[in-house]
Amino acid sequence: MSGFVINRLWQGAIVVLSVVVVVFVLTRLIGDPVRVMLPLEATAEQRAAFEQQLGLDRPILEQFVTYVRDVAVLDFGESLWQRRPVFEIIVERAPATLVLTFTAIGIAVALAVPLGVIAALRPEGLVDRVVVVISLLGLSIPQFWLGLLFIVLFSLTLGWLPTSGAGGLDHLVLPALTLALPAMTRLVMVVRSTMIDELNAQYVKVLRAKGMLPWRVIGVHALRNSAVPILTIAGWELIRIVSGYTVVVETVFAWPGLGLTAIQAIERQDLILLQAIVFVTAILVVVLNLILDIVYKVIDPRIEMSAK
Amino acid sequence: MSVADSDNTLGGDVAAPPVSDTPLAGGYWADLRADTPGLIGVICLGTLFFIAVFAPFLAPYDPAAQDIISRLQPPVWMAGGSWEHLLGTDHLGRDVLSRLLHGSRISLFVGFATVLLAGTFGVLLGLISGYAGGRTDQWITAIIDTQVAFPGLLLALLILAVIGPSMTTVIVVLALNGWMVYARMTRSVVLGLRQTAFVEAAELLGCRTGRILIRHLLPNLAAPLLTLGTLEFARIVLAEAALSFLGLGVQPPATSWGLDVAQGKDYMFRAWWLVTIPGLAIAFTVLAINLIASWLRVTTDPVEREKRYARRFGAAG
Repeated sequence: MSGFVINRLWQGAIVVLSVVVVVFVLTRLIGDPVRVMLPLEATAEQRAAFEQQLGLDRPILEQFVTYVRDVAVLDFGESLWQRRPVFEIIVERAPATLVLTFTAIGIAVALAVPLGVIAALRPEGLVDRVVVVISLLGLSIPQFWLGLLFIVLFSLTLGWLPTSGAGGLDHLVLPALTLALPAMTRLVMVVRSTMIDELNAQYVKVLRAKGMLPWRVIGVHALRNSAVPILTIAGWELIRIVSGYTVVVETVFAWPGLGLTAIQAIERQDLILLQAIVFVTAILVVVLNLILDIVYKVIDPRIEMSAK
Repeated sequence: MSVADSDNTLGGDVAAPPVSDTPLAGGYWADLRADTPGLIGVICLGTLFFIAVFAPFLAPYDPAAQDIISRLQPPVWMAGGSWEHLLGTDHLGRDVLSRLLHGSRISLFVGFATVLLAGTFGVLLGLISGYAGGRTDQWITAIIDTQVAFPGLLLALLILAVIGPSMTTVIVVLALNGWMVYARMTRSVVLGLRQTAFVEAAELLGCRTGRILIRHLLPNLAAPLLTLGTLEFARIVLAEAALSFLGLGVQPPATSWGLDVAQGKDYMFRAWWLVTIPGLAIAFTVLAINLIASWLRVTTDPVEREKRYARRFGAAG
């Protein structure tokens, strides 16, 4: 087990380092940070001062070493927009994103499993057809548009829920639902197809023949055997949401998390803040991947320990 | 007919079905006609292509032409709507229908270009990785694994912020984010075919590697790649719309459905159609592509085909 964890940690470190290299190349070599971040009317002295402040006047290799060292100790510099350490802003905004993400994935799983199981009981039956149609629609509707429709329906027309911002639980409902829907629709299809396969298996016939109650056959035996594929896909959906899909939903609902901050950083040309969000997200994705790998391993010991 | 015959023997113990009902008996077209959702998808996407190609001739107005006097007019079926602007006008008095028709061009073009770019690159790397094996394979697999773990969308935002948004940047960024799936799938198929008799025979006959890859291995990838490409196409259309909605995709005065939704957002309560209509267009397009993808997946996958076949005749008998 420890060999497995070390292996995965090593892989995670490579991922984070690659992201750092890519971001460095992008912002320092391909793009010109001074041009992007300073206003057009800045004087030559201001530009020079800014270059010195960021260390852009140093040789590129030295810049890179400083850069990696700073990232390693989570020193991302000072935000141009808010004039305070970027790390402070991230610590402030990250909880909102995490709350939104985990609520959404919770909703997705809680809806997808029962729906998928019911659909699988009678493939091509009425419920199954409805579930398939709904999930096709769910996959096809743009998330930002769904969010706007929710706002029009539940906030502006019915007045049940607030339109945007953060606050009590009522603020969380619409963004979490919007974020959950695409994940839920993909998950429901997986639950459905694995359950159809399980319910056709020999052992289910045996259990039924010996007179076990149907809910026990389905809920305990078949569902447990489908747990690994379902959890794998749920894990993918979690990673997918974390790795950037909150940006759109947070923007629509003005939810004050990292995604909205990223968009605000772009609007204010604050590359320092934006790249820090990219790093933190990369680290988050690596950590979550590691946790998920360990969880799979605990659930199903047959999974290969090694990297390959 | 060989396909039909083999299917017939498989289903023989359930109920002897007539040959004409067996899957793929008459090729893809006959199979498509039997699959109503797939057929609807193909017809819808065909219509969209027609609209995209002939948009300048079909659109009643220039999509960028402003007319402040007749701004925020509702669609024709609502009170105050007129036949001059079938789907109403936006906050600058631009014709919504014309913008809708022109918007199809961006969605489909970005989708196609991205799938082509990402697909070519991914398939090429996958072929090399699977066929060469050894060191090369290890390196390419490592690159794929690393990039899959990237926070793709945020990195895309960073690229767009540094280089500046445009249609070309959007295509490149989305392709950079999406090539890995093609590479992984190609690699796994090639690994499975690497030791088969026909590949070894080609090698013994002295075929050049390029010829083996292109003539012998690539055709075996056609069906799964087609399905994957279609699914990715749907994903890209959504991604382009989302980027344009965030203001990081297609820039005005060009038109994109995502951009139109973003612009209509501020008038959501006074003019709901500005948000609803372009959003419906996106959903409609993606739905059509998804219908085709799910038909292709079932049709080109022998296992799925058998399952469907068994269900069809299991239920009937």
